[in-house]
Amino acid sequence: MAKLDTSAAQIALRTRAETLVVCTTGSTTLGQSASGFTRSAGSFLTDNLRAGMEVLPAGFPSNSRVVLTDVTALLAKTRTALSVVAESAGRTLSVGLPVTRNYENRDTTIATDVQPFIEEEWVPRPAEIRTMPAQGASRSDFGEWVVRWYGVQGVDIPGNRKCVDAFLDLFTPGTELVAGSHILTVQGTRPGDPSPYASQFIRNGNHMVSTIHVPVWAQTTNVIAA
Amino acid sequence: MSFSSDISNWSAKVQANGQKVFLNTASHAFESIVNGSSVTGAPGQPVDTGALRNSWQLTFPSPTEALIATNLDYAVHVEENVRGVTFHNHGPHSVRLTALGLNRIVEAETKKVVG
Repeated sequence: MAKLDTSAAQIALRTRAETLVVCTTGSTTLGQSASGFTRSAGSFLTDNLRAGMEVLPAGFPSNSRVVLTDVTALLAKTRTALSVVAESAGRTLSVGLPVTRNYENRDTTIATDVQPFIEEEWVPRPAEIRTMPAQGASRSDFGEWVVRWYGVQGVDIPGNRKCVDAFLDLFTPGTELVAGSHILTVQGTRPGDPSPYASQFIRNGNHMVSTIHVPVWAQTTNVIAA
Repeated sequence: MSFSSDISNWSAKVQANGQKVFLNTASHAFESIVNGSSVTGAPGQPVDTGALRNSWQLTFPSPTEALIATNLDYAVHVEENVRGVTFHNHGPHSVRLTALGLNRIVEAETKKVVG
């Protein structure tokens, strides 16, 4: 086991992020009006849907992702008009990782201001040798995964903040991921250790952006090439 | 020379060394943020006109506090590498990488002082 395969680390982190479920109605009875999703019982607010979230419908005649602009108990208004659909059981609205993911160095077209999206980057940090001699020494490899969450502007902030909080819940200190032949561990397990955090939302163009920092490390072996 | 004076001298030396380590750590952290450091991996502040790099200041509000700060509002956009920021040299996240590597800075500066 030589040094950390950073591409495997980055992919492992992405894979975990893609499992994100910020909130969901669960399978229930839902319909559509021209202005958004409707329900006669239960509450979108109790299900934690909020304005600014990008929802993925399931069980509807059309299941395209849409952004919510206002949420009440029985109506989740959407940015784009919907076709009228009668209420029916077995439908779900869920919020996860934005569908637009500008992964590092990919050329992704970003919508101007109508939808949330993310960017990510792997930030290297210097490794540390833990034992001697150097050949075959135990070493710790470090890095930080940085994800910028661009939420839509013009809506109350809880929708964006709930998404970022749920993202951080996937990367609590001590979380372990398999990255190639190593175990990648999220830092912050000891008192005073830096741990994942998300910055304040700041304005950027037509979006509000919060930067999420996930420091990680892996125990590896130092190998000096012959 | 008595045992108590030995202890007193040792205590004074420890206190002086502690102050040296503190001052050197603060200076090293400042250098890491502004110019970069191989200890922390911070790339340092990008330079176009030099305004951002020169805006950073290290001050000591009290004998036990060091403050490293800038008053430029776009510094946070550079630090977080948000859209619209481009880098011709150095890079983002220097403050974060310096904070992550602070233990290493303390360790390096302690070794310099006490050997």
